[in-house]
Amino acid sequence: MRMKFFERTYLLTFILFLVFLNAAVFALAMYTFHNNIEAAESVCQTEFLSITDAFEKDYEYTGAQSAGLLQATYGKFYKGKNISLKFITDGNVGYSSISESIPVPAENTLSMTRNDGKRYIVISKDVCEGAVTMVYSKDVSYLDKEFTRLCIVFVSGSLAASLLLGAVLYFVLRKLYLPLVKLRSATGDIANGNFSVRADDNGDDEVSALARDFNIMADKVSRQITQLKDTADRKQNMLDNLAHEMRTPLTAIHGYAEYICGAKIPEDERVDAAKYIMSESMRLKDISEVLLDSAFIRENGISPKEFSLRGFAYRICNRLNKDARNRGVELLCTAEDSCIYADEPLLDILLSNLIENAVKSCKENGTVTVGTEICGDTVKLYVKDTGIGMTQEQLLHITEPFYRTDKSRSRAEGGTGLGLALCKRIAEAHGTSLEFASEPQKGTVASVNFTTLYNNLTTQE
Amino acid sequence: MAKLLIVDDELPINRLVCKNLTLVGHECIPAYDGVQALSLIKSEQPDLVILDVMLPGISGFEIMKLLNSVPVIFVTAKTGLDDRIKGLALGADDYIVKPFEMAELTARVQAVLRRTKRDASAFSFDDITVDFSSRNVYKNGEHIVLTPKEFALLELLINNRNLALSREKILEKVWEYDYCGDTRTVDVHVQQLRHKLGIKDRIKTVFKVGYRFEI
Repeated sequence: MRMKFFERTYLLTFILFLVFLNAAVFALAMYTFHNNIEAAESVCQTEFLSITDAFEKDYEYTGAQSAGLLQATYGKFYKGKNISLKFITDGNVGYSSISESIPVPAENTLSMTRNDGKRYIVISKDVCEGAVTMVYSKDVSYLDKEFTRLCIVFVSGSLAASLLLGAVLYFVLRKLYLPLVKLRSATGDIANGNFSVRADDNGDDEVSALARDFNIMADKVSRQITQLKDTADRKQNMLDNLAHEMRTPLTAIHGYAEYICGAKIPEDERVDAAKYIMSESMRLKDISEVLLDSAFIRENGISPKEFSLRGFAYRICNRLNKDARNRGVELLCTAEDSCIYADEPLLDILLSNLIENAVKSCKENGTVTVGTEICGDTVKLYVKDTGIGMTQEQLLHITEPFYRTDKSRSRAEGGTGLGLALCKRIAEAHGTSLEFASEPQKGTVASVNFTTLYNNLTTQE
Repeated sequence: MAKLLIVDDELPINRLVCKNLTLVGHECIPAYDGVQALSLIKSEQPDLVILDVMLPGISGFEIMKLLNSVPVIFVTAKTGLDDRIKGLALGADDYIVKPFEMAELTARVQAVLRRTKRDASAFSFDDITVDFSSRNVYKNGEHIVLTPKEFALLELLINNRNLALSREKILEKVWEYDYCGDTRTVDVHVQQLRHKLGIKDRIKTVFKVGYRFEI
């Protein structure tokens, strides 16, 4: 494709050039030839005129008696000068050095004749008051030779010029086409899936503009492909994790049931096995509940209504206070009174999860504070703890499904690894986002903003 | 019979696998993460590693790359082919997908141990010696003639000793898939085996379950 276009341009330019050059050379050759002929004719006419003038004078002087002698004298004299003469008196040919085969032209006219491969200029004229017709003939074959020579010079000249042009044109066109060839190779690479390649877009001609547009397109396509790949990877990862999280308790349940059923074991081991079956089935139940909640939000969206944040926060704190105290963690509620529009049951899940996470992250004598900050139309609900905190790297991943900052501890406490992923979905369904600020060994603040105005609530499917 | 390293970060599963494989006569060492597994492989020189792929820290595949001569059975929760192909390409001897049955695991462990010749080729109890390589059984040094199915049944029971096997499982493992008879066949063969070897009290009938070889 690339070479075809290049070849087409090259051949077309070259052929056009050859046609015009050769036409010009041919026209020039013809013009020169005709000029030469005209010059020769005018020389011949002048010559003939002087001969006839001289002959008339001599004829007058010698008279008609010795006309034959005079004719011969003239004929011979001029033959030495390469001019042939013929004298016709009353239809009878007198002296003649002109071949019979050369026709005599009409009176007082000039004609060009070919004879024996030679070219002659023949002129006839009546002299001595019509008594004698004088015919003049001169061999002008040199004109043909000159024309041939001229043709050879022109043809070889044009041939040399053509060859030179062919070479120069090739290199010039190659250079002109180079950006196009490069662009084509870059596009080919990208078409084959190598998205790291970019076309060379330096310059301000059309090809550079095309290359620039093309690069922009390639950027966009590659960005989108990366995005799609990321999404697909995340989904695959999520699926793998989900499979692992579901199959692990299943394996344990099945295995321990099999063990109780078939192994010859003492009573205490039987009880242990049964306990594992119970705890693992609880784990499956937790996971399925979170997944169901998540699916419910996705399918049905949220149904927000107005309620008091203060009462709501105190209710949840009271509910979770016992667990916190068992761990030696103090749970404080400092929420101010404000009404917000939100889906209460979902917000319950969100806040409970945040508080439970905060309590779990605290060592003994830690404090978890649930509070609000009112700023205009928005209420910020936050959960602050004095726990172990998280690194920036961990913060990036905590809302991913099944991500655990400390896997063994989370499992031991029965965490599903889905809590924050669900919280994030709940926050997003309310048109807001879940934000974390944390410092290792200092603690974490989790916050989410809610609007107090119904109009401001932008639900998200 | 063999020393096994069980690598799984899930405590209940790790303990379950250990308990079962200990019952059938192996020595089991548990490891709960990749780093611990690598150091135990070096210090304990196990005959076989049962390796979960999804581990915190170093993944099971990473560990497999670092091992060279130890046989590995990897355990995966993924149903996709990718993981299995990847594991086998890394040189694993077999794989098992969660959730799995214990009889399946013991069968695979036995097969790998036998293939890699890390298992004893004979098993003795009471006055009976079972030679697995020549497939002969001796009682007081006297050769007892068993049919191939009877020998396969005895081998299966020994490999799953102390664990009950259902009649269906026995049918599947001994007769494989070329038999579609009923479970009475199993009862008949068990009777034959008890009679020929005089081991009525070793092969116990477990009520509502099946048979168990006890030792």
